[in-house]
Parts: sequence; C-alpha cells; structure tokens
Amino acid sequence: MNRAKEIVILSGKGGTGKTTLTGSLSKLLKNKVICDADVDAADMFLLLNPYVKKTTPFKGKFVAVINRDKCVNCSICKQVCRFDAVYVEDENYEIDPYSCDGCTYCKLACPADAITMEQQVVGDWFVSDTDYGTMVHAKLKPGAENSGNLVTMVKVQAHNIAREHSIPYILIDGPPGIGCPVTSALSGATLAVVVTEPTFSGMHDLDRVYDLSRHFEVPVAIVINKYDLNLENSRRIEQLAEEKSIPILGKIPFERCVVEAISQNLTPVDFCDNLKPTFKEILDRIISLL
Amino acid sequence: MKIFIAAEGKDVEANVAARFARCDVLMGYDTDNDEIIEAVDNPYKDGMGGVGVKVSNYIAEKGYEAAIGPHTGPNATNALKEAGIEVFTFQGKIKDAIKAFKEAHNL
Amino acid sequence: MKIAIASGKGGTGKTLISTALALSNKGSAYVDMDVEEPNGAIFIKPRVERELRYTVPIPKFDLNICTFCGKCAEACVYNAISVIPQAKKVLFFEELCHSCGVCNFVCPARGAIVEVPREIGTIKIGNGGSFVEGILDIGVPSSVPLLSGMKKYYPDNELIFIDSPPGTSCPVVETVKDANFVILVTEPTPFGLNDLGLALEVVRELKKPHGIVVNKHEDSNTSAREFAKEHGVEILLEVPFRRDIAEAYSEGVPLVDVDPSFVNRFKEVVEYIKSRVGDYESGERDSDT
Repeated sequence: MNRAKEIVILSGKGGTGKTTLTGSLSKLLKNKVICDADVDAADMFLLLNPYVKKTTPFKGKFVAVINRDKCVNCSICKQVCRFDAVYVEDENYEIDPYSCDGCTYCKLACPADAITMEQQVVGDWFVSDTDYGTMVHAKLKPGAENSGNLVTMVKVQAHNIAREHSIPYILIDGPPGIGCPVTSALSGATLAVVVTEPTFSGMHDLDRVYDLSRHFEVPVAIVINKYDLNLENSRRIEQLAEEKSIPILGKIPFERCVVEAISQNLTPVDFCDNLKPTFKEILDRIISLL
Repeated sequence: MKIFIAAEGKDVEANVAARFARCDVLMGYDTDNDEIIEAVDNPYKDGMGGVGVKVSNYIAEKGYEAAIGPHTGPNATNALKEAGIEVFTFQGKIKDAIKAFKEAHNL
Repeated sequence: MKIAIASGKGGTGKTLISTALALSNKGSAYVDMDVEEPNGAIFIKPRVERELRYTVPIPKFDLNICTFCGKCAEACVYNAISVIPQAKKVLFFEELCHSCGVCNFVCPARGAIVEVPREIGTIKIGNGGSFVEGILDIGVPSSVPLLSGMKKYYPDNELIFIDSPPGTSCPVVETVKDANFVILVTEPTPFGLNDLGLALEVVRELKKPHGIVVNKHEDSNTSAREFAKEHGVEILLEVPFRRDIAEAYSEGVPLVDVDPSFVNRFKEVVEYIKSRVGDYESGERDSDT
C-alpha cells in the first residue's frame, strides 16, 4: 500500500483555532489516524476522549551529573559552564538539570573525570483508541525542551499504524511557531493547512509558516478563522493568498456557538448546525488537494 | 558512480525514504557495477537536532557523489550544497530511483 | 520582589494583566520577556532611552591554521559543525550553535577557532530603567540566551513585574526561575484550564509560590473555580469578560484606563502576594497553596 497521506494543521501563532479545526476534521474524515504533534500543550484529547492503550517513555536531552565520590571540588566545572548550571550546596558541587544544556564542557574539563552525561526521560508518548480512530499523542514533562524528536516519534508511530491497517490518511495537529518541532511536523507532509486569523500577528505568522512550508515543498492551503472580526484584514489575507496561489479552504465566522461547543469538550461540527457545512467544505477541498 | 540513498529498507525493492536525515537506512550504491555498497541502520535518526548535518557529513566522508531522497531540510540542503553533492529528489521504489537517476545522468 | 506573570496557553490575557499590574503600582518596573512577540510597550507607552544589540559568542574558523582533524565536529553535541577534510571545508550551522565553547576548548590547533559575537536580538530600556523589553531576531531558534542576557538589566525597583513568554517549556522556566511569585493567567475554557494544569506543574516543580488570575470570567461559568478547588490553588482575581475591555485592548488602551476601579484591585493583589511571599520565605507556608 502507498504511504498514508499526511495532513498537517499549523497556525504559527497560538489561539487561532488550530486544535478546534483539527478536532472538527477528526469527526468528519473517516478512515484516518489522528496524531497530536502539539506535544508542549496537547489539547486534542479533550475533544476526542482517548482511551490509552500503550504508554512509552521518551528519552531526550543529556544532562551532566557530578559523581560526588570522585569530585575534588576544584570548581573548574563552575568556571567553564556558560549556562550557570553548576552551584554549590553544603560544599558540594551540583548541577541544576533545568539549566544544564548538555554541552559536555564540564565533563571534558573535569580533571578528576567525575562527570557523566545521563539521558533524561522527557515525556511519554501514547497510542489510544477514540470513537473517531486511533490516536497517537504525547506529553512532555513540565519545563522539558521540545525538539523535533518527540514530534517525529508520534508521526512515525502514526505511519506504522496506518500501514498496518491500510489507513490512507494521517491527520496531524501541528505544533505552534516555526522552530524545530514545526520542521519535523512538515517534513514528509502531503499538505499543510494553516489556520490564520485577521490580526497583525496572525498575518505575520502566516507568512513565516508559509515560507517554511515552501522550503519543504509542502503545498499550503489556508483557513481564515474568526474572519468577520476584521473584514479588511481578512480581505488582505485573501489577496495575499491569491498573489501566491494559495488556495483558501474556507472562512469560519466568529460565533459564540464555537466557544460554547469547546466549553463542553465538543467541536463546532457536533454543536453548531449552521457551521457544519463550512467545515464539510473545508474537508472536501482538503481531499481534493491531496 | 557512488551514490547515497535515503532508504526505508535494505534492498532495491524497498522505497526511498519519506524523510531524508531521519530515514531508517543509509544506503550506498555503485551505479557502474549495479550493486549495493552498504545498507546500514541509520544511527543518527533519533538525534535531538542537526541530524541533517550529521547525515550530510556521513555522505561527504564516505565519498558519495550524489544523494537520492526526499526533499532535504534546511541544514542538509546547505551542507550537501557546500560539499558539492547533488541532491536527486525521488519518491518511490529504490530500483526506480536508480533508473531515473541513471537516465538523468546518461549513465 | 519579582512577580512573574505566565500562562500555559497563549492568548489568555497575560499582557493585559501584567501591564495593568505595572500601571497600578506606582514605582514598579515592567520587564517584557515575551521576546518573540513583545507587546507590553503598546500599553506602557514607555520613553525609550537606550537600545542595545545583544550578542552571543560563536566560533569562527581560520582555515589556514585548521588541520581538519574534525575534533570540534565530533565534540559538538548540537551537530553545528561539519568538517570535510577532502574538500578542506568546515561548515558551521549558526542556528544550531548554543555558544557553549566546547569546540574552542577541544581544538588542538591554536588559533584555528576564535569566538566572535553573533547578534541575536535587541534590548530596549526606558522610563529611567523601569521598563525593559527584549526582541529576538527572526531566525534565531532559541530565546533562552537573550532571556538570560536580559537579567543583567533588571532594575533595582522594589517591585518588578515580569511578563513571561507563553507556554511551559524552556523560555518560561528561564524567566520564572528567579521570580519570588508566579501569577498564572487563564481563561475558563477547557483548553485554557488544561494548559493551566501544565503551567501549574512547572511552577510546582520549581517550588514557586503561585496563584491564578482568571480572565474573561463570567459568573455563569464556574469551571475555573472548580479547577482551582480541585488543584488546591488560589484565585487572586477574576477579570470579567467585558466587551469594552476587549475592544480597548485591541486598540492599545490599558485596562486601568478603561476602568480605573481596577487600580485598587491590582494594588490589593500585590499586597496579598507580598504576604504570601513573606510567609513562604519565612518557612511558615509551603509554596503549594
């Protein structure tokens, strides 16, 4: 079977309605694996009520650890560390794992060979059942750094499941921003759907996400959320989209109904009859672009 | 010609990988003798960051003259360009990729 | 006393609250650590007196001295260096570099690597030092070095309000770790409260006294109060969902200008926080409420 098609939902800025859209599409699109790659603040589970079947710990960055028996208190580690990670407590040299960047300078410089690097468990990833398909998601430990790794892991797992059950689509709730996690989310994607809102920061971030998607030659399509909050800016976005030949999948109005739906852990598709056709159209257009 | 292929498996019936630097298998192929030089599990694929750099370095050190794979990320693109290694984008079976590559280079 | 204002989720009203606090408490300072998108200045409207470019050290390679041994590339855990001996090339990937200094340390060829400054952002200082803002340059992957650098410019006002970046990862930890108290701003929605839970984990892990401010509060919606009770955390203030507040915000008008009655309420919040911090630091009370 051919590799499953990846639909990645991105937004650049937080709060534009990305997860609401992904949740809604989850309820409309049959035969897909759902993937929550927004591992810093995974919210999809609130809408889909997953039943976790498998949990696996995930290892991330290395941090330095001082072996007290070997340490000679020379303070060289403290002198070389540029991240202020070495501190002294009760005359013992210690390393703060939150500040340690894992660079190994202290280990290399230590004359007593007293420092080792230990890999930290930074979170867990899960495979769950939902009423709308299998879901792969993850949770990072508080304060942990997210690189593309965990995002890559959930995507790879989603593909394994898709391959095993001959499922043609993977629907991915992407991470916000434009850094390493988004790069991982985009790599190998079939279509990037960017949710934007008609505000200055929204439009600015749309630009940045678009540039990044283009670099990976992943086709981009846009959904304008809360479009009627500022019709002028919405028109600007439409103009920009036309100039760059970016298809607009749909425009969702700002309605109280959506807020009420979410407050009950439901999506607009379940709760707002008048918006359902809009979301259906967005999905139809997505499929036609794949 | 010695070329590198970002692969999903260890023979030519397997597919070209969908991700470049984090592919499952690093494969080397000799187009003159039509044989696989190496096919190893990718030791860099779970790295935290800069995986594209590591794999590009590997390709350069081994002396491969071109790399077949999917679209490369920003780091790999840069690194391979600097090293003078051509990136030939292809998706599908490895044997078809090699055929297409040969045709494009009149080999 | 340093009070950090944070929130798990973006868009909950962190800047609305932090600027209101600063404007209500005369003599206080305001530091905007949301360096990817600082907008506190819109409301504080500071008189900017100084602007400087912040730099971090990065390696520069002298290929005449370099022996292409590759030790620097091998030692770099961030994969920021690639050495190609046959082409006599050294590739350096600036965006991956964390300025740790290891490459310089391991290089056996003296002078082959020197460290030079790389600009990563701007720090603006105003209002006699009681306004500080950082802006990260586009393309710089991590804001943590800039945040760390901004700390040198913390003024010595008795009360400092720190507007932290949104979310719960590294930049937030970096910002919050020096604070005496953390205010978590949330909205009474499932996403807001879920992300508040994540933010709570972070502040509890760091053992910081903390409390919640609920923005866009409506009497009919008790979800935030239920959450607070369930998690044993105090609500310091509820700011109602009001159209005039939202409209004013979209036009850069601070909360305290729209409704001056908030000034006293924000002053009271600070007095209460002072007593909480006092209790915590004297050992009378846990950081967890």
